[in-house]
Amino acid sequence: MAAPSAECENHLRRHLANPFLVLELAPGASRDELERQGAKLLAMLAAEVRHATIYSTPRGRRDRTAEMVRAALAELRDPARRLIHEWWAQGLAGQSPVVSSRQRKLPE
Amino acid sequence: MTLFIPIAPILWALVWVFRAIQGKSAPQTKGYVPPSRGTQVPVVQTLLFLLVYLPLALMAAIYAADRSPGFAWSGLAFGITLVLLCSAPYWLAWRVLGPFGLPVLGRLVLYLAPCIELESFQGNHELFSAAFGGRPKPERWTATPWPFFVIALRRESEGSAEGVDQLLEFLAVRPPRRLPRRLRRQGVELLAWPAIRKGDWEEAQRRLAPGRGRGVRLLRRLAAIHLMPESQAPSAFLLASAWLLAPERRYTLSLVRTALARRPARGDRRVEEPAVIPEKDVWLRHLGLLARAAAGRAISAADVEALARGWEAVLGRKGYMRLVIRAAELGAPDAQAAAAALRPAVEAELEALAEAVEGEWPEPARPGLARKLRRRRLDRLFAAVQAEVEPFRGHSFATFPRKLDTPLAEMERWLQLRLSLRRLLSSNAEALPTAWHNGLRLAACNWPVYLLQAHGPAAYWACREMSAWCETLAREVDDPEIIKLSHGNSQVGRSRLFRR
Repeated sequence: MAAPSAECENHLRRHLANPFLVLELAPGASRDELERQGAKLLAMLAAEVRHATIYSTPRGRRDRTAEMVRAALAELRDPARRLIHEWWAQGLAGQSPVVSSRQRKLPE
Repeated sequence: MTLFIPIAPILWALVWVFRAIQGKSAPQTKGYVPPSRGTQVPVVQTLLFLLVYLPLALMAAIYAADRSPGFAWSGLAFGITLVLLCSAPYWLAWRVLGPFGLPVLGRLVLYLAPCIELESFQGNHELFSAAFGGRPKPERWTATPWPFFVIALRRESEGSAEGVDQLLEFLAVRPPRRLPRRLRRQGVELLAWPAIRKGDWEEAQRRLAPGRGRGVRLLRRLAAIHLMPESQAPSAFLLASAWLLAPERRYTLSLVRTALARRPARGDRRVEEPAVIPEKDVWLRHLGLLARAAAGRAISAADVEALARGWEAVLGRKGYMRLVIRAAELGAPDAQAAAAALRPAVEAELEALAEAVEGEWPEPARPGLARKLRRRRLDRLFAAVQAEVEPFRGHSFATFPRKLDTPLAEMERWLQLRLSLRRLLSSNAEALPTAWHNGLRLAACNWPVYLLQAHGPAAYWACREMSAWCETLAREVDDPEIIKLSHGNSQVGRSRLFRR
């Protein structure tokens, strides 16, 4: 057995903590949608709503904390970083990456 | 009946044993090397053997001679009694008390086991503690095969396979007969058990490869059954025979039953991945490979090459233009820079994956990202070897820039170098002459010599092992000077009695 790769584990952890996955939003979500979803999740986490503590990823469910939601919001406020996260989130969702927002529909 | 005791041959044998355990010291090195102290003997255990077990065996021989006259019967009684008395404490401790969860009692019984070498006595106790629970590794322990098994077991219990990898690398070229019997049998079994408990039979088979003995044979057979194709049926008779002959049948019975009942195929048999990945699947495949590497599972070069080809298609000109447009839409201050940052980030992750590739990686047929990744991986592997080699270039023992640690710690470091070199050579078999003439020659030959000069007899075993490896490498690159030197160094401090 090869030694577990710490570097790969870090990359994997980062992808699974993609802000769009944490916030459970479509990659093309508007700024207002992001803020609303962030506030909603923070309120639910503060009220200890059970299903708010878990989110889905392509590698199974993971725990969500208020810190992760705040970090996700901070990441997505930076356009350059949002671009990268959006690209990964679309790819991981099996969508064609980075299609202009005018051509994209929000998921149900 | 008169019992003859051959005094003269016994005396001659004792003198020979005494002279043999003194060892000989003939280092092919320059500089002062402290003389050998000979083999250290555990006093209590030796006295126990001479004053209790030997007289008991003689009494059994006398009793047998009284009952049925004849040298054969008394000799047989002597031999059987002595063997039983000497092996019973080991059997009781290792096969009964340890597995039954009585480690304290087991360690006490081990004190009653006769032992000729102090190293073996300490090794038995430490390995027993590492396997069944007990005190931690002593702070100062000279380099012998025992601590490597202890370290591997302790690291395994902490969740790290690094110790096992180092040990298997060490055992890869070392004939098992040169290992103490306990290690080549139960030591190897103990290494394999964690993998067996996890159901990782492939790993169990790898760990069992250097082992010997009935227990190892049974576990190897079980692993072979679990890994054989579904179409092949295992031989129930052979398996049952191996189980009957093996020790600890109570623990292995369930494994034998499972193997015979289920005849399962490989637990985590890998589905062959297509060589070309559809564009939309590249991200998920990337994530899957990251997860495999993070879990320490093997990644093949073909997987990484296929992924690299997939990324080349995604990260092409068209993809870049889309990114620039989207960056502008998002209001990024420098849309081009934001889009351009993506490719290096993906390449960095691919490099981490390439680092985790196990086995051979032939040069890709066409130029591109895969070839670049392979080249960078080779550079990194070469750099890992060079990092260890560099202090030896242009330095003698007096000016050596690194402070030499204990022989055990240095051997662990040396095993890491061996692992790095093995990885380099498995990627590119022609790299050995390059590495050899870039300083590996100096490091491989001088490292054991410096260790010997720094630590004296405590480094004899380390020096022999390191020099034997150096000699093997020198033969591969046909370097007569190093062959001669290393051959001489591999005989340093070698006792004529306990050749290992």
